[in-house]
Amino acid sequence: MIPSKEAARAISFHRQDALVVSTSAALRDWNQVSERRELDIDLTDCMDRAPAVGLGLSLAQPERKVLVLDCDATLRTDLGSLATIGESRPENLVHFVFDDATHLSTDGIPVEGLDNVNFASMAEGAGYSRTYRFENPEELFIGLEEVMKEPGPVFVVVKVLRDEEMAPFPERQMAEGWAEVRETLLAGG
Amino acid sequence: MTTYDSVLHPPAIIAELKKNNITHVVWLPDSETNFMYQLLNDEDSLDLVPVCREGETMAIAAGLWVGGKKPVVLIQNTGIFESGDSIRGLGLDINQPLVMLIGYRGWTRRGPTPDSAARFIEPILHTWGINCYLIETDDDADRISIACEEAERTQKPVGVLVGTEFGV
Repeated sequence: MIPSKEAARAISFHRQDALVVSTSAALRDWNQVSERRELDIDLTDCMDRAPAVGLGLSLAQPERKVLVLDCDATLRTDLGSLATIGESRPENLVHFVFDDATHLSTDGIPVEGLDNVNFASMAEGAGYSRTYRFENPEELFIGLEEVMKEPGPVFVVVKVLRDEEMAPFPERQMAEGWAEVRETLLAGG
Repeated sequence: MTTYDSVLHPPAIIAELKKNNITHVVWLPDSETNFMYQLLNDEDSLDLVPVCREGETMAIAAGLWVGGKKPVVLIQNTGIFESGDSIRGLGLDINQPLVMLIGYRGWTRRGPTPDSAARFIEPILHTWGINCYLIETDDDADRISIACEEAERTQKPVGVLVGTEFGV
């Protein structure tokens, strides 16, 4: 298992100028480590829509990498997004799923039977070009170099552990953050 | 007696989308909107983005808009009900100037309709504070431009209800 903040740090290290769409507990982790907040789209609301937002962003910015930081508990509520992404096949999209072994993103309450669901198989069947699964920090850190070069859409399951005390959501309001990213991109940033 | 023998032809809608520099049409392929598919597909200046469920259209449009593009969504009125939370959170709350082309299933100007999808759509949009325009014939198509201008000016979603039989 990988401490979730460490997973976020590894992604941040490899990010370069990628746009990042993050949601739910993955957003709480990402907010602690991101050094390019002007390129971060936060979903503190409509949290199941991160893959769809990422798809729109990847189609709008085809020359740029788009990383979606999703969670198991949010992806299960919009599984159709896998097929929607598989149909459009954006080469610049990397869809991470923080698979939370501690269930802290659902306040410690496990989603009954969620371990029976194989998201990576679903993504593969939906038309993602490649899937990865990482369970230890070293493998993730080294493996991300390949992930970032692979033509997408790529699907990456990261088995994470969370601190008992969850990091807070960003203070920045959603509308404010989205406007900042849009202005940055329109200005060519 | 007034007669309504005019119909709405897809080229009138496509022309309006092009006039307003629309870049993407995010849609759920279905029987109500398939009349536009071939023309949209043939139009180089417009990219089609198909979805599995209507609620995704608002989110994909939001991503396109943040990325500097100008999308519209094309779904049936039933899909608006399915999209409720996304319209709230990713349309109204983030100030997305989105024009929603909405197939008006059940629309009739001949009295009460038995279709609840038609009865509820306008009250629902109005409850959200979303203004909407009705288009029925080619003569009405320029209301798409009015909707685009209003969406930009208010930085909010605007609906265009497509309530007609389509010509080919």
